[in-house]
Amino acid sequence: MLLHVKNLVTCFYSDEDVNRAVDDVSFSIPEGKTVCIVGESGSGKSITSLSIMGLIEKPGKIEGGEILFEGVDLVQSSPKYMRSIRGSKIAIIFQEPMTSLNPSYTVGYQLDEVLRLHQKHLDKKARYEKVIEALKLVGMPYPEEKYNEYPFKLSGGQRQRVMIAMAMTCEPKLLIADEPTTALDVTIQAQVLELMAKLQHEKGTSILFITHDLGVVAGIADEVVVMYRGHVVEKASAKELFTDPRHPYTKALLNSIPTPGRVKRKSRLETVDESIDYLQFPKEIR
Amino acid sequence: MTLFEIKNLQKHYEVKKSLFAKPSLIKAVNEISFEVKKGEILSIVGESGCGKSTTAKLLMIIEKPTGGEIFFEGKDITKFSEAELKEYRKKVQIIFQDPYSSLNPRWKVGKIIAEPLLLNSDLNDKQIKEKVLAIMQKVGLKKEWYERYPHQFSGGQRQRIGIARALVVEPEVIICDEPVSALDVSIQAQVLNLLLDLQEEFNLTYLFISHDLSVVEHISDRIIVMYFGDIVESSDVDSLFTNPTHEYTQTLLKAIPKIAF
Repeated sequence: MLLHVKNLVTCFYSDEDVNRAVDDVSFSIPEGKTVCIVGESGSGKSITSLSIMGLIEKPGKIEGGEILFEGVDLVQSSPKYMRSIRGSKIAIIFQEPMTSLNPSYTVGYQLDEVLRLHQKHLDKKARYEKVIEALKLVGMPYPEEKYNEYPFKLSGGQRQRVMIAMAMTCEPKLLIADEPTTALDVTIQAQVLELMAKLQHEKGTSILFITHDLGVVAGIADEVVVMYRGHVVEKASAKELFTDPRHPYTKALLNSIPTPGRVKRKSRLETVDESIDYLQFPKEIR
Repeated sequence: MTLFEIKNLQKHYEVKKSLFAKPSLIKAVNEISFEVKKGEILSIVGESGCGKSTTAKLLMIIEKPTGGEIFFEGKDITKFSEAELKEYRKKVQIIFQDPYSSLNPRWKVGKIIAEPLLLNSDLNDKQIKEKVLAIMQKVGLKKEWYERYPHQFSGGQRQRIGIARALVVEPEVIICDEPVSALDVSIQAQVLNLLLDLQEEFNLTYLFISHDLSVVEHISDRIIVMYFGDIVESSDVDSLFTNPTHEYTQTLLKAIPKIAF
């Protein structure tokens, strides 16, 4: 196992109370596999990924559990150690390619920065070649020209390609993708997902994919973790989850999607009942 | 019966790259023609920049066309007088995508929903309040929420407020511009159910604008596919999904993530 998350608890504090955003979450990611965390807004899926990256800031705090990455507990690690693996061994792609690139630096400068920080043995020319290679790898048209462009000149799909290129330049062991295709059109989404699968195949990268889109999950996941109000309510292989969902929340979630063939056209869709606390049902961990 | 008849509708924008450059044309909507029949759900699908939202804005007279005609019940809406416009705005309403930015944060829910009535009707305050409360109940908002502000509501509830605001003038047509794309799937299901219920109850006509083909397949009677300002395909739901003829439609259908094992 590349990553073991054991009984993770991450809390956010306000004057009045404590919000246990991630509450006793456990899962693991094998090498070269894709694990998806699905859940709705506020289920704690993004906080889980930020906890792994060591990016939880005040008023938030990791209050319990272990995050074992290559055998080292990241929860107990020093900020210096976290900085050394962030961007090199563990990389993250965010949802918004608009806001996650710095608008005042060129694409090339921002890609070069990753190498300047993490691969200090490379000289300027070697880094330039590596950046161009990375841009080619993600299918960016005219990589030499794009090197000198500013982010605003790129389309949404191209920006997300830059983000993926940035994440992949140091060949991380683990790539965390937090809703990387949610802001993209479906045809562009298909291209980005294909690209990630290709990179995983070539480099053996493990992927933690966070999404609310069950269609995307069905296409890429090996294992699926379903989160609800900070808890893992179901964990199964993708096939098991979609053919035999067991937890009532998972079932409700699946039935709320209009799926041609399974749901009658213009029929009323099933919904997740807000008056039910789905945590009362036993967890389904396979 | 045909409600809308759109003929060669065109919206071009002139864009200058620099002060002295010759302006170049962006053809947002390029001579499109289609009809909307009473009581149907007609969807326009396409990706960012295909012109679907511009079409909605043209129908709402938020933007002026650079060519072509839009007939509503036989009359050209681009030539409406003030009085006719007022009447038109009662019959054609819109629901927006983002339930956060489309509601005034300083207004209470009651006033937000009442706004179209304040502008377009002669009802007194008491009548307006009664009407607003009745419509709130219809869309699943509690009476007690009348005095609340938008920030006190979740995304799904805000979208209900937007729907109530559109419904309060008893329109014939509602233009729904990506009404569920900002919502979680389970909330999306609730809003879709509500839209279908309301359509049945009030015999409404929807022009439903969306990029999500699964949603569109679920609710539409007919579908128009737009690509770079043009209509590339237009047909009923069944034939579009079983037998797409245009290459772009085929690409689009192939790109939808499917749940199949």
